[in-house]
Amino acid sequence: MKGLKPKMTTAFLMLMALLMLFPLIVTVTNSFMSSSEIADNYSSYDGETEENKFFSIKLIPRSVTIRQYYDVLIAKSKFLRMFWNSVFVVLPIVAGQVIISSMAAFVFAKVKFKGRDFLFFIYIIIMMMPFQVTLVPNYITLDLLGLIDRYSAIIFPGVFGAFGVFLLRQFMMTIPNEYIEAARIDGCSLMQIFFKIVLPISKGGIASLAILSFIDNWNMVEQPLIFLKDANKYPLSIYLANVNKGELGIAFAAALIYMLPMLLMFLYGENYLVEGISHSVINDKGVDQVEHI
Amino acid sequence: MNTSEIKKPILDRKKRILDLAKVFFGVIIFLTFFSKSFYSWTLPKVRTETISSGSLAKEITGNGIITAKERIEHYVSVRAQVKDIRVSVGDEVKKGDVIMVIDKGDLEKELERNNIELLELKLQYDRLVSHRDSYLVKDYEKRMKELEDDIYYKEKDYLLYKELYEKGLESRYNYELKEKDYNDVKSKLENLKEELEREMENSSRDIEAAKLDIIKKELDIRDIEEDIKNCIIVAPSDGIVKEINFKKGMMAYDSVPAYVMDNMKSGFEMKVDLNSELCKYISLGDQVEIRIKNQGNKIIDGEIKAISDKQNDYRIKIVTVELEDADLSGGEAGELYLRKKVGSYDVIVPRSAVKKDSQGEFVYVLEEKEGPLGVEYYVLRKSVTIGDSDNNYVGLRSGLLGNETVVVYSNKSLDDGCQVILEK
Repeated sequence: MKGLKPKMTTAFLMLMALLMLFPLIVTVTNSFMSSSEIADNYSSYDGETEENKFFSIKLIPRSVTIRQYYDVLIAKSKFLRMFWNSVFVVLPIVAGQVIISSMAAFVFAKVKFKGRDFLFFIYIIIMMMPFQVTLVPNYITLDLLGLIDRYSAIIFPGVFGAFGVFLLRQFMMTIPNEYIEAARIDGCSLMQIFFKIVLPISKGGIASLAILSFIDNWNMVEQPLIFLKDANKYPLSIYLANVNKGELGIAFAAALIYMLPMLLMFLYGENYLVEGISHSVINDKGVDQVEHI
Repeated sequence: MNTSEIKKPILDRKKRILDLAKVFFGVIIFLTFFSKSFYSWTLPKVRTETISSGSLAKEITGNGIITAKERIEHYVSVRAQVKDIRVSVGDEVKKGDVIMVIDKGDLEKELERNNIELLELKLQYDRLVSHRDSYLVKDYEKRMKELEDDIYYKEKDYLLYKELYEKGLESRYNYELKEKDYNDVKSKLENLKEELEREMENSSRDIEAAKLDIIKKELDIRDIEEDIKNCIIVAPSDGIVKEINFKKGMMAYDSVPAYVMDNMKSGFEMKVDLNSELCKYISLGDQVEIRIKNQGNKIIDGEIKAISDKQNDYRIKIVTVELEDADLSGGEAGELYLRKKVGSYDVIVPRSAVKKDSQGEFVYVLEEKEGPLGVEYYVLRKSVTIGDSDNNYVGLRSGLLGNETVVVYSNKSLDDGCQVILEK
């Protein structure tokens, strides 16, 4: 009886895990089905009417084929182009955000100046606002700057996102002030402290920011839809939304390839992510450790 | 267990994930690098042309054989043996030249027999006339004279007995007997007169029939004489013999012409079968060029004289061209060429660019886009209203502005908005 409870817990957790993984399993198995089989399986579902609300999901293909992958990767020119569109948009955002956020976070965490807390408060408010709230002013600003229909219309707002600053500030607050004081005694300038002391210590936080930012921006739909006019510039996330409409046959393969970079990134930086997020808890101790430079 | 031992599985896992990421991006980069090559296998390859403004000239061509305007076909009316043929196909003959001689031996015999029969018929006729005049009439006149004499005496007796009976000197019976005798002889005379009339009518009818037989026979004789005369077949005009359908020694018959010749003096013409659609651009009197292929592509002038329907085929019309050149012999293969201006348009496109489906005519316009992987080409479907067309171009009334590039050839079927590659 003693060992029963942990076993039951394990079974329950496994069941939950299976439930969570089910869409992923469906995507993987269905990606090896032919277009006609997929059309047969999901033909009754139109997503709108109350009739045929239920349909059976099939996991085992009638005949295994890689036709979907051929269509997505070779026959359809759009997919690869949009994949690179996504890469060209997301990488600058991640890199920019890491640079800008780490610098801003360092200042907010370790440099005291007048109005700092108020400014950080504004940052928090901006972070809390959903994208739709800032959509119109964003659009007007980008239009005035002549950036509409350019990748920079998505990259710049992404780079200056408030979440990264918040996350890293919280992370950097945990760095003991003694390190910084010691560096100052040794004659380090502010930049040297940042690059030689704070940045190496914040590696975990930066990695978790990079992962979160990558996933967030890899999945963005509204920004490109609104700020980009030319459909050829759309990233993969929009292609996936469109591909579901007309070509159900290649949706699964496209979805699988689409999530692979995110999955790999997550698996690679999993421990950084956990470390980064767990260190970034807001605590009063961290706030007290502000160094007066 | 030290720190490095704890970290080892984590590092190994990371390495594997990194390897997977490398493979993934390697495949994506490889596919991207070869994507243009793959597209060139999978995407439609198109050839394009920039549209322009200009005028359309309909070029009409057609082939035909040059023939004389008048073609003479001679049919032989008698069934007799061909004795001699004096010309060959292709010979030029003058009016009156002997072409063919038919054996007239049988015809001459038939003529003789018919002449004898005519003589017999004439004799028969004379006999009938003399029978009527000399026998029939005289016989009846004699018999009537006798009856009239009898009537005279019978009338006298009757009148005498009538007077006596009225005076009571004679019996009623005798009086009525004399009256009956008198009436009988009178009716006999009447009957004889009627009989004479009938006989005269019959006789006249026989004479008329004999006369008709004579006329018929005379006509037969004339036909035979005509046939005998036609046994020597001569050319009715100057011309060239095109066909001889009999051979020496064979029996002539009338189902095919004995010979066919073209009348040289009538001039020449060419009949060309043309599509009814093309004929809309042709009018009577149009001057055309005719290239004569078997005379070293010599070009002569012609004029359209007639456009007629072809039997059993509404899509084809027969265009008759009158030719001016006299140096022809008929039978030459000619090619008609007519170029006619049909109108000026702001936009003309090659014929191959215009497609048609259930929604009407349309063209595919090429669109160039600067994609992240270089310049890409797409085709857009543009509905157009077409006007006139010539052999190469179609005039557009609406649908294009005039600065587009249209697709004139594609190795695969196209759809609106589909990506294409340009054929070099």
